[in-house]
Amino acid sequence: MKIGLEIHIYPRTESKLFCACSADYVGKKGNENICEICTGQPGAKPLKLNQTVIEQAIELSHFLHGTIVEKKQIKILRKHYFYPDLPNNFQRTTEPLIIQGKFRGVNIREIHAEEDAGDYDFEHGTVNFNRSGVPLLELVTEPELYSGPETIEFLKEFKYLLDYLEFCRTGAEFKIDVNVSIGAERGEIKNLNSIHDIEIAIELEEQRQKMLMAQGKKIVRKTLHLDRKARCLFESRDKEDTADYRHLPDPDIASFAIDSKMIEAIIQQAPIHPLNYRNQLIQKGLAFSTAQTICSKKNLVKSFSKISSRCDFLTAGLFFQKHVKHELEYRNISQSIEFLNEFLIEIIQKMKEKQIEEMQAVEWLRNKLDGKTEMKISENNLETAIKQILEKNEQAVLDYRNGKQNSLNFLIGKIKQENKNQKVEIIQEILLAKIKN
Amino acid sequence: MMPKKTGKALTELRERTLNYLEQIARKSELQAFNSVESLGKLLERINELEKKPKEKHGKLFGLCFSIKDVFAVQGLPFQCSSKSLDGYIAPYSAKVVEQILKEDGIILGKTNCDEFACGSSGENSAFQTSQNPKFKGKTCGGSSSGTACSVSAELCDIGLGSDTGGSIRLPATFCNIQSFKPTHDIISRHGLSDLAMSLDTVAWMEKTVQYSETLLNLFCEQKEKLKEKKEITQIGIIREQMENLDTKVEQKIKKTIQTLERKGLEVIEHSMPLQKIAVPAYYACMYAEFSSSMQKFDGFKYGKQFSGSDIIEAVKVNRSVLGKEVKRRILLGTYLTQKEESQKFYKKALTARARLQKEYTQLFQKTPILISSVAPVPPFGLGEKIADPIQMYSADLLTVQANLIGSPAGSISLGEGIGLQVMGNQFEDKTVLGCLQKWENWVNAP
Repeated sequence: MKIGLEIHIYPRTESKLFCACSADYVGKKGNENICEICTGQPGAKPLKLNQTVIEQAIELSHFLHGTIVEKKQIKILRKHYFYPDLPNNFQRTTEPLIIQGKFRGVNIREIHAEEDAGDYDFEHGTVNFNRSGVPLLELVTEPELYSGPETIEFLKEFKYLLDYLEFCRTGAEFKIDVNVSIGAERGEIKNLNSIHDIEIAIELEEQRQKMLMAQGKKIVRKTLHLDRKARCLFESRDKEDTADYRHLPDPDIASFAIDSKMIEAIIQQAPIHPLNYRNQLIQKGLAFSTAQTICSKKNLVKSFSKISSRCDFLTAGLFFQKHVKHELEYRNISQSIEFLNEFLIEIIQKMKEKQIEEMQAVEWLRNKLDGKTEMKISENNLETAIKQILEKNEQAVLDYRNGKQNSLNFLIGKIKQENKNQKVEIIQEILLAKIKN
Repeated sequence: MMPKKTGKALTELRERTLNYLEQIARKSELQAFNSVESLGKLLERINELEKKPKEKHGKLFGLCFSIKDVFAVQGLPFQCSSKSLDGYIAPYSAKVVEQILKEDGIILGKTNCDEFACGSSGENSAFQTSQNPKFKGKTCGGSSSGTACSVSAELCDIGLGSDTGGSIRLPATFCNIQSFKPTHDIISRHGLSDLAMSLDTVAWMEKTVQYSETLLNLFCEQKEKLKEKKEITQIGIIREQMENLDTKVEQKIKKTIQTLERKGLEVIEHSMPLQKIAVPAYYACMYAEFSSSMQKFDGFKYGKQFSGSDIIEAVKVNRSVLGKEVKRRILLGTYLTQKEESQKFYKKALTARARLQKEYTQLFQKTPILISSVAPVPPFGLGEKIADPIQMYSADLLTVQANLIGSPAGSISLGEGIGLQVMGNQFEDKTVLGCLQKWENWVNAP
């Protein structure tokens, strides 16, 4: 069995591909996010192609080892077909921006940008154009996946990469067309938007083709859709298989070239490749799940790669996996956490040296993130606290100096009362040093 | 003293505008307008303009425009003279319309034209046929027929139209007025309904070449590309363009050439056998682009709602309201751009266009200005050519070149519905305009 994928990704941009409307269409009232351009009013002309989409394609290409097309004139084409959700009855798509990529051994044929259609409500016969014109990047793989599970694994890893890059629009990630073939011709299942659906679709299509073969029937090229409720595939009512899209270079928009300076700048700023880094971490001794968690976030990887050589590697790994990720997510922090680096090194070392317990470290991390400064982390502060208690309890100090062992227990108790997270051994150590002076 | 002075100016503005409105009503048999701005809205506009102190007057203060029905003017019907847009009110304004309003121009209404600008006589309008105000029983030429009619009959100051293959120059000529089509795409086409996007150009007409320079400066979005005005000593003619002219036209053009020579200009004759591919290349390119841009008219979105049993059926039903010429162009364009056919025709047309472009560039290096007749024939009668598309298309024989190569071209009326076309290289708009201004008096001197 051979499987090829067409993955449509919603990149994060502020505006639509050819107009100034917001690309954030999710959760808006019907036809509130529209203008004359994205609803195809007569005479309305597209603006210049949204450059952010090109930047996004370049970034993605970097992680797929793709070749950026260096043609001087990349054209924008019109792909013609009639459908009520398509305001112009043609869709604008760019020629390939990226070619010859590779991800997990599967060759990527190309990546291009295109505009999304509106949302057609078949029952009511209405169209909501809020999504019309929102940019999509379409990635086409060669048919080099050979089973359902392999395809799912590929997609999970691909989604892991996209999540790491925070590549997709919130609430809209991707939709996928899957091509399945067990012999010569292929069946294409359109518009699948979850990995679970894809799993079912591949299974059903494999069964369908096997059955045809067993019956000695010829498999012909088909476009299919998944009915999730009935758990079956149905044939598309539009004659998409034989369609001639009459591709025409759009006379309204000039062709463009990808700026080599832009490529350089994007690649220079690109974060560490999460899959490669995950392998490195595993080789250095982290468990898969630990490495997987750390490599799921850009800021975790960036911070971890800076600090892990300066403190205990395994302790750091576990602390990141168990706590740092969670605490950041809880506070919705996705930007850089470089400002925590020194702090993290210190508390990880302290944990390793058993000066503080794990829960203590977590609490300090929380305080640090919440901007509370009362809880100081260094021993100096414990020392100050002890000093203050000693000043208040001069008699007890004198008693101890005069040989009363119980006074020491009394003082430790007092100190522990106000510094509940401190280990008794540490308190005793500092206390003794002070009293003996 | 001051209030009295302004008071007088105000009356003039009011009087002029209302007079136009009255003339439009009085000459309704000319069928120049598809829709006219309401009196209430016009009075509002006049009041607004009257309040402005003189130092704040825009560059088009008080000038009255008629706008071809292929431009969006927010709040006015936007119908492209087509039943498929019957009842559609523009929800936005074309970029040029916004500029006219910003510079204190007044918009009187939308003028009739061939449906979606498809035609050379104005007879393809789904609503009415504009009558030539200068020659009874003749067409106005097209596709900007009503626009030319409105300027020629003094129903406005300036007519704003579009020129895809001569749609401004031909009707201006047939109606004895002047016109100018700038270099392609130096003016935003936002809000101009598509005929063929790589050929469509915002263009205009006036009785004498008076405001063309102001309009060019105002609308042009690529001023840095415009070349400075040149003094012209040599002009070129293309031998092949002098062949197959109607006798009357030929005589008039020859006489005009003599006049220009007498004024000290050297006229140089060139040969360009490639001329014969211009019209076929033009029509192939235009069909292809037109069929694409017409896809959107499926009947679901603008104006009246039509319906059918399923999507494809509905599109079929809805598109049946389109006129014969529009359908012909959509079908031919769809055919030309099909996978199997595009190599045979469309790609060939693009190659021909590129060759023509190259030859013209070489010619402009020899003589910066080329002249010819605007049309091979004088105004023809209503109904005379409408049945035969090939005959109708031949009216564009001498005008499509400027669109194919994207260069500026204007027309000067020589009277009797005959015109002199003046054409320059891309971005030589100022030089072409300079010639129009200077020559319009020379060529019409008795």
